[in-house]
Amino acid sequence: MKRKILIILGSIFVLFMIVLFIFFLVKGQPSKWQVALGGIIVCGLPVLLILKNNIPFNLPSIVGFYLFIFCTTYLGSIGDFYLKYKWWDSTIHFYKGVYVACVGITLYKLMIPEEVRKDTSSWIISIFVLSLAVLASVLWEIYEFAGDQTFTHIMQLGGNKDTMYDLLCGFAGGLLIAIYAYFRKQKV
Amino acid sequence: MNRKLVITLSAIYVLLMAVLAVYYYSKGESFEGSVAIGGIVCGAIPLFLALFTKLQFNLPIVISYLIFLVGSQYLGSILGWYGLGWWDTFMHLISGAILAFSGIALYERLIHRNAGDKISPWFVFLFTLSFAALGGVLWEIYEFSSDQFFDMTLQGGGNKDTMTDLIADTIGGLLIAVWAGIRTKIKLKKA
Repeated sequence: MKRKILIILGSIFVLFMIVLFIFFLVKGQPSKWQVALGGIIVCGLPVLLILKNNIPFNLPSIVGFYLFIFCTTYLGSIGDFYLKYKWWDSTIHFYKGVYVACVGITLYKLMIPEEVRKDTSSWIISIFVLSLAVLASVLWEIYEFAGDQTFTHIMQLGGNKDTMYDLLCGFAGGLLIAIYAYFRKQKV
Repeated sequence: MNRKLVITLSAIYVLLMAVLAVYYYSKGESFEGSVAIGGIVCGAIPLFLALFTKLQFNLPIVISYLIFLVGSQYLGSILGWYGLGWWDTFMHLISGAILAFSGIALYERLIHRNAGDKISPWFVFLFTLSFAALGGVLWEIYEFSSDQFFDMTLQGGGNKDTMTDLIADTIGGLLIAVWAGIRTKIKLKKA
């Protein structure tokens, strides 16, 4: 089931990105076909998970991943939502905080065997998912910063205030799931 | 034993800062004086915890905390080493490492002893690294809000400064997290 959905979603998205890539290549818009090219890669990568006997990520994580790609790569960069709507960037950062924190719950379950989970405090999962969401934000900002230092020069144009709002939104998203995980630890 | 050491070290720091506060205020240098007052407060925290609570102390954390206070408050602010440029980055590297140590201590306290043998070293690594990143971001959020609400200029260096701080925090955390992960792996092999 999970396997099928991953294959279907993955192929649809890869196909979609290939179409976009060709479309903008023909139209001669380098900033857009470059994004689509990157899109092909990030949409294809998760499909490699089918090589594993057991896919560790649950369905919401897989669907959430493709939703994220759709919102950033297609709507954000190709559809210019980042430029048209000021709130788009912050919303994406918030969503990313929520998403990474949810993946954090999966990782927690993966790395801590069931029989010892009762011996770990609720604080562990809560702090872990919050910190992981924040770490993702930091790595993202470092990536933007490094890109701007070398060849893109546009990602952190908003300056310090922008960077800080991004971090705050990522933090808020992670915090939400951290609180949820704290109270629902036994059931997550 | 630990408790006595904590009391002695933090008392020395508090005393030193008290002397400096009196010295700078009498000279009319109120900036250095106010930093020294801040130093008294920061040094008093472990001192009070050791005197009035039954908290178990983790020596590496307390000692690195005091080293950090000396570096940031005395050397950095009072002697003006922050003006050197690289000192700020260096202190963030140290604070990233301290945060990672605190993350390890927290982890060990929140996990039951016998669960430790079953948990993947990767979890220890990720937990420690992310905890350091969380601390670094909270620090920047604190600086940012002070600037926004109280018209201060803690983030005067702009985006580049903020990013350099965050990168230094993350590298400091990463170093300790790698060490913690490897240590856990070795421990698991022996068991």
